[in-house]
Amino acid sequence: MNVDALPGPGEAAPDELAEIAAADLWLDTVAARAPLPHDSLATALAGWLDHIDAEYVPLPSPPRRARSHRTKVVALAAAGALLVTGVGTAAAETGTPLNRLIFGDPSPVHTKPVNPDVAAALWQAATLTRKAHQSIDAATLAGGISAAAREAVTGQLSAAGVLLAPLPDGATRSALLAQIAALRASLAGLPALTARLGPAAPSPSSDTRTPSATRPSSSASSAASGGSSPASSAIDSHDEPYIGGSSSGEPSSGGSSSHDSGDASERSSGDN
Amino acid sequence: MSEMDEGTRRELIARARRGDGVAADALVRAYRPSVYRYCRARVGDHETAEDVTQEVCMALITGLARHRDEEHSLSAFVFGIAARQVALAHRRRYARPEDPTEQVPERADSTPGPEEHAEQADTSVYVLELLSTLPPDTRHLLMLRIAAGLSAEETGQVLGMTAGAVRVAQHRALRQLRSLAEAEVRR
Repeated sequence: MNVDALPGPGEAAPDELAEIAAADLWLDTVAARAPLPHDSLATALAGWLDHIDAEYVPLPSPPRRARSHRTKVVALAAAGALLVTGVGTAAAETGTPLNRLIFGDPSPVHTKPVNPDVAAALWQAATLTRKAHQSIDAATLAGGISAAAREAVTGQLSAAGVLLAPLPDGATRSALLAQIAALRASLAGLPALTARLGPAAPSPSSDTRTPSATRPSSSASSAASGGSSPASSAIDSHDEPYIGGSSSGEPSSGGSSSHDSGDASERSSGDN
Repeated sequence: MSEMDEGTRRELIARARRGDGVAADALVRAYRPSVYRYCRARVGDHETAEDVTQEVCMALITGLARHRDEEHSLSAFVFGIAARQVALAHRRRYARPEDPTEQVPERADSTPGPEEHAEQADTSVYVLELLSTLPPDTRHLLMLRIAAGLSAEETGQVLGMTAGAVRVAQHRALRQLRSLAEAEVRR
């Protein structure tokens, strides 16, 4: 394997850590075959695995004499799995920093008691936060942000907050909440552009004279008027917060209704 | 291979090394489905995947003495064997160019449950097309994580990377796959 072709831990930006942790949990969820019904990529991967499994031909049963012993082995394995799950849950309560979760040296025992609702919400919140971050960076470079763009970014950050609110405490959730707070502060500090152009305009001075700058309302405001949740609307508008009205069409679990599980934990191997 | 805890695995390994056929059988049965899934994902057709899976199971039994618990988990050991066997299968295919390669999307198989299977086959072609946009190393990494069901730590052991590097790489690969999938939905 050409390891040089893959990025090393040093190449991960600090702001990327929460998203990396969310992606790891999402992959564990997909591999464990837990359903993520509103996620098109997860659904496609699950369908692919189902297709492969449909072709699998199991080994014939072993001779009868061996069966009773094998039953004991299976029972022992089941008891062991229960024990390990319990240990994993306990470990999750001890709390470790996010960078240790990603780059540290967790327990060699691999367990996957994943909660698909939590995985989906973390992934969506991380995606929204990243997109808001990108928009704020672009606006900073452009020297300001239009009212519509500010509203769109605010909508993305709010939607991410809504997704995270009902989740149990965890390192990934905490990191995302801290990132959202920092981005809100950055957004508040951005000067307003007087014209309704996006921050990609050549210069603030030219913005004020552009008559064709009137654009449709932002995606966040359209989300507010639509029937969908703020989270799903903000995700739908993810790529073009300055233009508005675009929709990827990808469904989202949206809102908080599916994330009420009080006993959910992000993962067992060191998060929290 | 998540149904068996590490302690049980170690006990089975120890017994299998002492020549306990029942323990060896239990290990093979525990790993075989995920080994097949991984091989099938990488070689692209059922027959070759079955052959490679069989070779991996044989190599697992004969190679157990080489496995050191303190170095790698048994899963990493098994899928290290599987990765080498898949590479050998690819080499054999390149020697016979009339055979399909890993890059060729699989064809719809009409055997079980026609409609559902055809739908699943479409999904498989779609997923393979998405995965084919990734560099081979990254694609292999995702197959170990998704098809084999290995953890980031185990995947790192197979690929000779740290778990952190695995997590960074998989995150960026997923971001690429998701943006491609979203673009597909918008079309």
